[in-house]
Amino acid sequence: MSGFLLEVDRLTLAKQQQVIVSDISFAVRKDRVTAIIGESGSGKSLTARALIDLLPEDISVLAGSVTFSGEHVFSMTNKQRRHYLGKEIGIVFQDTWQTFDPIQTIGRHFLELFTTHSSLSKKDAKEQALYLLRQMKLGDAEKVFNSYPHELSGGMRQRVQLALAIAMNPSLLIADEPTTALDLQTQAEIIQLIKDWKTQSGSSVLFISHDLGVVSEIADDVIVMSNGKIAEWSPASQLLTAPRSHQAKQLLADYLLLSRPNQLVKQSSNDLLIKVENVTKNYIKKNWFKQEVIPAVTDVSLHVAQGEIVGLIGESGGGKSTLSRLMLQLETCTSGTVHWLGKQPFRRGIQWVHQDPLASFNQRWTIEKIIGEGLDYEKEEKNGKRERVQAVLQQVGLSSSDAKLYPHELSGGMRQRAALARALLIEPELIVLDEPFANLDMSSQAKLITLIQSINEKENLAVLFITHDIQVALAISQRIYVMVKGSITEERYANDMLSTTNPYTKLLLSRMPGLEAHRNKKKLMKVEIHE
Amino acid sequence: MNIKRRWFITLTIASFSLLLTLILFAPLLAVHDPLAVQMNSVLQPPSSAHLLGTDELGRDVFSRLLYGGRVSIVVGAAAMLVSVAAGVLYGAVSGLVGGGIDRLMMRLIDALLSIPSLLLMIGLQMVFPSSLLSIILVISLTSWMPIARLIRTELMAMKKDVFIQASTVIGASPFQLLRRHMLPQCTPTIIVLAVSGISHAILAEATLSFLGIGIPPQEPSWGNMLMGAQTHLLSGAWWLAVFPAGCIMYTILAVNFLGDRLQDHLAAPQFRKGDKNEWISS
Repeated sequence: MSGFLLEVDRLTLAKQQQVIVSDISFAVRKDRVTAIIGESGSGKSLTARALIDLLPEDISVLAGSVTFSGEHVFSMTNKQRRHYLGKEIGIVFQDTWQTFDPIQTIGRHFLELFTTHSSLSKKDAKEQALYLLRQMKLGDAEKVFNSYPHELSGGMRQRVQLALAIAMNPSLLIADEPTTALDLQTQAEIIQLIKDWKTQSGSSVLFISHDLGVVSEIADDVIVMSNGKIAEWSPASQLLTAPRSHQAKQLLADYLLLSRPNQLVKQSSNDLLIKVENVTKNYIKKNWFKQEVIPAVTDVSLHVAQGEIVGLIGESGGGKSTLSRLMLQLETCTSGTVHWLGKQPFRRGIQWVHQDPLASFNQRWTIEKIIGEGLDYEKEEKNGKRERVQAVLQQVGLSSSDAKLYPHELSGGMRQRAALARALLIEPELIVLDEPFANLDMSSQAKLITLIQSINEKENLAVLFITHDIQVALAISQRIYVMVKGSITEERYANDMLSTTNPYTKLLLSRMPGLEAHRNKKKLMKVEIHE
Repeated sequence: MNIKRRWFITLTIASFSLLLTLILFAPLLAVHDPLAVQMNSVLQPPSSAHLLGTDELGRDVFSRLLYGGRVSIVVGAAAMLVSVAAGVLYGAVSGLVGGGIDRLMMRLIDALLSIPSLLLMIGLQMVFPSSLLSIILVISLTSWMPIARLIRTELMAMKKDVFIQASTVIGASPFQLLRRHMLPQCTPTIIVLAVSGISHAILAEATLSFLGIGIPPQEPSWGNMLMGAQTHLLSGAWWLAVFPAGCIMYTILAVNFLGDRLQDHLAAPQFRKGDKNEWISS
């Protein structure tokens, strides 16, 4: 059929005998952006890998076919396949680290590509590579060309990956969660680059993401996947205003929950829990002869009162995590003081949930032992430990059978719940959540936010919520601090955030994905979200 | 784990336990007195009267092998225990406290390591009266330093791990952190060190005895027997060297192999669910 570049017909994938992706059919239109959206584990990445015939070894195609401009992908000869993968398709992965050869410069990656798939001379190839890098708005293209992958930041590597993917001018670009690991600013820029390239070249894009905001910015058609099946396949405009399937409605509901500023204004009570006064932290980098002082946190003052949800936002590398560690007294301040004013002793009153729950667990222990650890250090609380662990598991929405598992056997969302359960068990007054949603998909995020808010209301627990994602911060917190380069530039109530005058906060707000959706907010709000 | 491997483990455990049992019941099994000199049957090859032959003083090689095994195994196990305990303790203190004390403690180890260990052993052995206890002490005194250093390095790295910090936040004291998190995390390393410690101690005992400064010469030990064998090897008395040497080699191989399995087993408890009884199938 004309108009379609890539067609997938009744594709079924299985691991051993267990069907993972079942009977899906869709097509990618020429000159359009098609997005696949779904929770993690819904089979979207596997589908993408099936398209390029690069499935993991233990996954097999049970049935169905993939057709690329009239040719069957699974029955290509080696030569055809190389042409197909090398020239017709460009791929951008989420992971910007493992896709590069760490001992080769960026330039050699380009040269390898050009010598394999084109007859350009070395000099022309370099010219072409520099041109592409410049197109990706990389400041000093020459320098990037001569760098090794580890010398570039994640955002820069993603740009290079994109440049490599489009170097052969493919007719289809597959982008698998290309912005998930990046902060909002870089995310917005990468999306703009993909859009620009698409308009220029007239090619198609298959964009895979879990983030409805990103998808609504870029996609023409959206495919909603859930549990290995396609729940809905419709134009983006229709999906955002009138979703048909239950899964799409749920996605939209989650998204709205995440993108609606918290309207709740609690009268900030006078019972302060923690007070940070003029705290500065410098790291000292020792060179051969001289010492270099690297400021991480500069002259920061903030406070959290009882029962309050306070957000702390800023870009990655902005000193947020350092500040949280200073507050937890895991590191000592260079100057300034942290006062703990809670009723409980410090080590019980304040608890911590780290952004990487797996790293924060002793992986030799079962979940039950990990969660119960806090009680082991209390002499009088030994009895009834099992019951208390079970109760807190239930509170965060884990089942009691999960207690017997080891951390690596849980999914990302479950791990984060377990980390929260461990913190909640000893009934603290304040929890510091350090980027708790960094690795979670949208529906897990939405569920966790609801959970945190309900605990906050029920138990009058204060929360310090650290994130780079202004959208999430707005959704969850009552009061927000904005941190730039180690110091706090603004403090504002969440419902008042949109009227900010601070240029940096404005910038952050403007980079929220799905701003189109925001402009149509009134229209969106009217959508019946049935639950 | 495949079946072949399991068979191999079972076989090793069975044969090693057999060796240990033989050594344990030496007084019952040894027909001849290991110290009894019989000048009328010197350097006899293996026969029905003397299962593994006799040595240059007419002593029964089989009996001496069993009694000598006691010395070697006891020295190996005891020296290993002492040196691992000392090393882990020293390393844990140094790694956990850190700072100036750590630096001081590490320089002390550097100084001790700079002395050649054989020289130190010979020197110490000259000071102490020659006995089983002294040889255990001398061997452990010269072998705890690398253990301390390795443990200290592991703890240093681990102190920065997020899960250690998470436990700190939840209220664990430094000692609790060490006991509940850090040392269990170090067990694979400790096992490897312990196993190589046993091998090292058995070999060191053999070396010292071979040099004539280990176990008193009349007492049997595998190393002592080897020393006695060297003068008669050329005259064709192969049984004097082959049996003690074979025992030393077999013991070290078996200990190393079992230690290796034990390390695999203890390294990651989270990955061996459901096959908890797999390791020892005998």
